[in-house]
Amino acid sequence: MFKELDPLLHSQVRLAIMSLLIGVKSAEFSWLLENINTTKGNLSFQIGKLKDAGYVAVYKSFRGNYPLTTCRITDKGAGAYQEYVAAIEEYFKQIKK
Amino acid sequence: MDTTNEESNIIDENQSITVIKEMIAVSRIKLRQDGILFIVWGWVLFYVSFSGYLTGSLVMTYQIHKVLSYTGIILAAAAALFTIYYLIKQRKKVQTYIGVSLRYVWISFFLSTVLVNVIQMNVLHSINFQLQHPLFMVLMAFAVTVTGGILRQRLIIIGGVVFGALALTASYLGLQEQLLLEAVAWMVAFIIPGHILFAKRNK
Repeated sequence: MFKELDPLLHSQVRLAIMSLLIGVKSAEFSWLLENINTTKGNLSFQIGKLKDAGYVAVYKSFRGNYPLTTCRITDKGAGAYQEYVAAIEEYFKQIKK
Repeated sequence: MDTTNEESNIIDENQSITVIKEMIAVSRIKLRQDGILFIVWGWVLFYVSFSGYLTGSLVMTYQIHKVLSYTGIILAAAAALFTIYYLIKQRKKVQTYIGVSLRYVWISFFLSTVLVNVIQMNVLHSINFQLQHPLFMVLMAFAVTVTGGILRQRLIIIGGVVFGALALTASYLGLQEQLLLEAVAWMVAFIIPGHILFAKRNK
């Protein structure tokens, strides 16, 4: 029996966001955009979903005259990500058997 | 990875693994160290130590002595300005735990050197340079070894350990020989690993 995967993380963009944030302390929105290669609107929308779930914390500030959005993974998000990776690993182990 | 639609893109397990691997690879490439500051400070401090050794050991005119000494001060000031410029220019869009840890290590190192001098003044009522050099070298050995550990660079760790061994050796020697050992230490702990990191930066 396979463990159910977290539907919030089981999406390409949201999983990419979490995979990038898990290894860093915090990251600017533009850095995520450079590496995930999705549209600004979609990235913003997916970050919003992760934020609503409490997986990601979003900070809005200014650098000079420009708005600056910084994201950081929360403890809840890190836990959910670890569980997701463990579930995926389990899935592949079962498949190999 | 290209996801241009506004949908959240539900994926299968194989794609999940691909996404995770790709993003981890991105983080590794983007956050690699280039060793520039190791090279700059390595050569400057090598010059300062080695010229200090030469001016104390060789017979030279007052003018040459002065030129060598002032060049060291100018190079150190230039390196400090370059470091500030480099750190501002390199201000990354992402803050890593590695970056934060390294900042703490080197700020602590700098403050510790100040404290060593203050303690010397309190205890000895003067700065004993023959004692100061090995003590600074020990602090440097500690900072370099921890830096190597954080960056997972074995060569830097070895450099730090060698720095520590040279610090102990320096404590048996006079000030001039200490400066020569210091020059060797900068070469082993900063210059060589720095150039290796720099050569590997885009690989």
